[in-house]
Amino acid sequence: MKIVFNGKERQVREGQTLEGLCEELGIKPEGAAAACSGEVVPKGQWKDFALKDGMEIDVFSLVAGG
Amino acid sequence: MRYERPRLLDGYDKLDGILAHKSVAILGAGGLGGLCAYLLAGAGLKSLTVADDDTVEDSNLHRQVMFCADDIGKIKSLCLKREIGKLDPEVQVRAFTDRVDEGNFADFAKGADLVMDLTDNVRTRLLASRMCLELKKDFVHASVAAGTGMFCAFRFSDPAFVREHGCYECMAGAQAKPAFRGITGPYAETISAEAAQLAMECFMGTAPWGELFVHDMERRTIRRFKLKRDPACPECTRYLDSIKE
Ligand SMILES: [Zn+2]
Repeated sequence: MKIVFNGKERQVREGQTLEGLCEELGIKPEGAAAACSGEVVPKGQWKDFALKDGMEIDVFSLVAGG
Repeated sequence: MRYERPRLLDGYDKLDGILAHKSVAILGAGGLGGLCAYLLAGAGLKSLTVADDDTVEDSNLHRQVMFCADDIGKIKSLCLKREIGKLDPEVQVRAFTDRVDEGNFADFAKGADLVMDLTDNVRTRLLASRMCLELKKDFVHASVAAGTGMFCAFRFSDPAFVREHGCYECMAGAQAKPAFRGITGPYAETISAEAAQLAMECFMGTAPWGELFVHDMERRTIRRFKLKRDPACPECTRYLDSIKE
């Protein structure tokens, strides 16, 4: 199935989770935040958040500076 | 006379009058906190607490515009207080020079209508979100690194807000650990100014509570996302349980 990841189409396997996808891409969850169709996916839900065909996923870095 | 230009803007005619009776507590007097505090004092805020126990370093001066070369080695919150005093001697600035922790947070936030997390320290940030939730104080978060800044406003004084949008920890997780990145002066001060604007909107009643803005300054785009509560978040659960009683 296909999702839109950070604005670009991307093939993901059936049943893949948000956490699994980030792991595959080398994105550390503790350094990132994510949203699905414009709504933030709370960090505690990444593990069970199943990706579905056509979903729009945004993953972005948490930033530290001040 | 001082406020005649903002007063020309729709909705801003009463802003300085509102700010004159408000108090803001800011965590961090550096790249974000410094200019933000100065802009709020310029807009008419008369009561500010600024917490920062860091001293000014040479490597700060490219982005922390409130300090000068003579300030190297001096405590940031005290330097900022001095600069705000030059801008408007009527502003009461409380420089909080202890490191903010669980034990002194309530003292730091005492009397504040809004607490702003503009620190570069993620542990302080998580503590601030947790403590503001506990104290039911409205909370603005902003952070910046490399070419990306993010900012959002949490209306912790309103249980309906928390039920829907949660807290910083819901979004970032209790183990949040952002990577240390580079930064330019304009990137830092862009987000500092955005934080100040957001704080003013909190007092004007026009703030986009519960929306997370992610400003990609390299590409010059701003994305906005709705914050959502994690039903399993222990901090939000404790807050909502305390409301029920
Ligand atoms: Zn929460």
